[in-house]
Amino acid sequence: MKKQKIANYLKTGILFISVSLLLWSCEKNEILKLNQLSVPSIEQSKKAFLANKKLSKGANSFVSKIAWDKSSEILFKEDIKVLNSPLNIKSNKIKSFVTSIEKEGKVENQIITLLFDDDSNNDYFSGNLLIHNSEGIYVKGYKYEKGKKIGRYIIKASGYQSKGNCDPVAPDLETLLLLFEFDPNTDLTLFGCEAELNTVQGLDDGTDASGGYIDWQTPDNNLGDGNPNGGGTGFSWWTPVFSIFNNLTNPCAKDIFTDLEDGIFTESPLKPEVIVLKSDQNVKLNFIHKIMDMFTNSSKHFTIKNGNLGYKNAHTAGTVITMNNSYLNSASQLSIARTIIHESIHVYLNAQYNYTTAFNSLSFKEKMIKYGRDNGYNPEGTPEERNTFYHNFMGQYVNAMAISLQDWDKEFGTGADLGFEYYQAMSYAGLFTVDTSGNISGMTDAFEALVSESKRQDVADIVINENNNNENAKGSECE
Amino acid sequence: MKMLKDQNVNKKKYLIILCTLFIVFSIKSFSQEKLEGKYSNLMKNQDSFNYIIFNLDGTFEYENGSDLGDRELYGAGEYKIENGFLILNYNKSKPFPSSYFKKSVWENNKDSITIQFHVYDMKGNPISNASLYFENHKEKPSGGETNKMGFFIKKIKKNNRYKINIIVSDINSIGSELLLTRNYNYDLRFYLANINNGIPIVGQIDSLKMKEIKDNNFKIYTKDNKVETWIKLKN
Repeated sequence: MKKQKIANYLKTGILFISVSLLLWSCEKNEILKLNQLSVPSIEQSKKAFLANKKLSKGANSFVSKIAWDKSSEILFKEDIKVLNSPLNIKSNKIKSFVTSIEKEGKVENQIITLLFDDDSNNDYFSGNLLIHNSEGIYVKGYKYEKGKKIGRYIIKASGYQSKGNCDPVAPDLETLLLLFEFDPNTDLTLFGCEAELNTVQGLDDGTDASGGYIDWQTPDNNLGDGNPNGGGTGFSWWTPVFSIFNNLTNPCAKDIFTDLEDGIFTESPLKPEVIVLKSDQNVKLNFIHKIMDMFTNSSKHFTIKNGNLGYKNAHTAGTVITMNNSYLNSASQLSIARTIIHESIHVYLNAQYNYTTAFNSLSFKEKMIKYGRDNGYNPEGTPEERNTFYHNFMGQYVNAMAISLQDWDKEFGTGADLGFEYYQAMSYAGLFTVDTSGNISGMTDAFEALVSESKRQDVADIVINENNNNENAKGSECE
Repeated sequence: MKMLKDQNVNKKKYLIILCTLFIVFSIKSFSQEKLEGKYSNLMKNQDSFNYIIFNLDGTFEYENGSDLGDRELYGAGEYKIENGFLILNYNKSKPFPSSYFKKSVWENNKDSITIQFHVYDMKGNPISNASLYFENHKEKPSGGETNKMGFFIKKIKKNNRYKINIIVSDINSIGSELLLTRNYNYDLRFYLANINNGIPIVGQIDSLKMKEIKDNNFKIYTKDNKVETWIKLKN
């Protein structure tokens, strides 16, 4: 009896040991597989990528946009690191980069493109994630909402039910980039028409295209919002690099903002076909361009949109500007440009005061606080006190605003130079109010101090003319 | 006698007619005039706005603001036009619960103190990236930001003589400033009100001398006796 028991124990023990050995063996196999992946050097990656003779390498090709010199090693998904080589794209809503990995001595690559929804931020990715192969041909695309992968797009799969008379077509990378550089809101027609989504379950079977065990190519189902590979604070590969969102739907205002923003970009002196940031080339920027540049290189968002605000021309809440629809329909282009510049300075001051870590602006905040105390204003007070503080502090930026407005007007507005005093007068707007007859009815201390009494009404008249685009306005009409 | 009596009767008649005419005129000018709609004393398309909505039931709503946030001041109440005055009684708006903080204090024999910050909105949701600014006697000011949980912790040397001044701010909220002695440890819970709400006007009565009322505007005299026109807005 005893012997039988011992034999049973031994059998059970051997079974456990065998199972353990089997599991250990599988795990070892996985580890070996993972260990076969490594991050290639920039030269290795570039050489492998450019070896493909089918690639279009012309001035507008996506290949010409790859900034190899900005390549860096990133954690792409759990335990898998890749080389990330970003593409220079002149759009706020898209980010694209080549991911390269060395697998069993051979470099593999693909191109990841992120099309950001408005709510995308440092905490999670919202939007579309598209994968193109190294020739720029569409491979697959996913939809993410608040960091969660909600589905994969079905493009002409078997059994696809066409909606209406339209079959979705996946754009190649070159076309996609051109579309977005031309119109950042093109996501509505990403596939030419609405594409269905498959559920996440069972989409990716854990193998990559080459049949290996490790799928290094498919991004995680979670990008942010609990994803272990980054997020929360700081950057990850899926966080927006370009943080300026031009969500204006009024075409005229949208163009004005785009023109103001374009001032931060220039052609690369080495590669004329590539657009780069002026600040990277040490090219002098005017103040509005400095503001745009500050956000372009930050983790914080700067958004401009339009809406119905009743009677005022615009408002700024934090770093979000809303332009009033009725104002956009009645003001001159010059007035709209000046309002965008004025509101952008509110965004700048709000950000400098409140995001001291992101903008390294603690000493600037110190100056703002001192200014408030010296002059009896309270930036932490009621909305009324806060408004008084900011509009008086803004008095220091009138000339900077005027130069920015003048630069814009000469290049994109009237095309002429209306004289610095005209732009300076425009830049005082917001520092005083006028009554229903157009007479000054209230003013900030800054306006009172900076403009002599005899000139104040003349300044107000210029602002009113442009605000209402009347016969005395010099700015161009929005068409 | 009869002549005198007739004259008295006529005088009375004239007086009654005059009084009636005066009353009718007064009523026509102001008393029975009701205002309806949104009126503003500022030209449109500016960075600022200032308007009153008059309702036929004798109530009104007031709003004022600029391009920073939604509004700065607001109020509601009853109005009447009486003896040539537009009287605005802000008796319907209620005080707004603004930003506040709760403080817990403790002491120990350590040579430094700990200040714990928890920053929330008025509903108790944590505010991340709230900005903290510390002024510590003659030291250079330092800063900090709350994490996702709205939390930040600060340690400083204990000091009997000097205090630490703290400013808590958030880009969308009304901030707070406080001065603390450096002998104790603190746990501070800030509840910040949204900047967009504005501050209500409560318990104020404005008596505005009127010049005239027309269909699309009314005119009042300002404190320095200038005429101010309030125009009826289309919406």
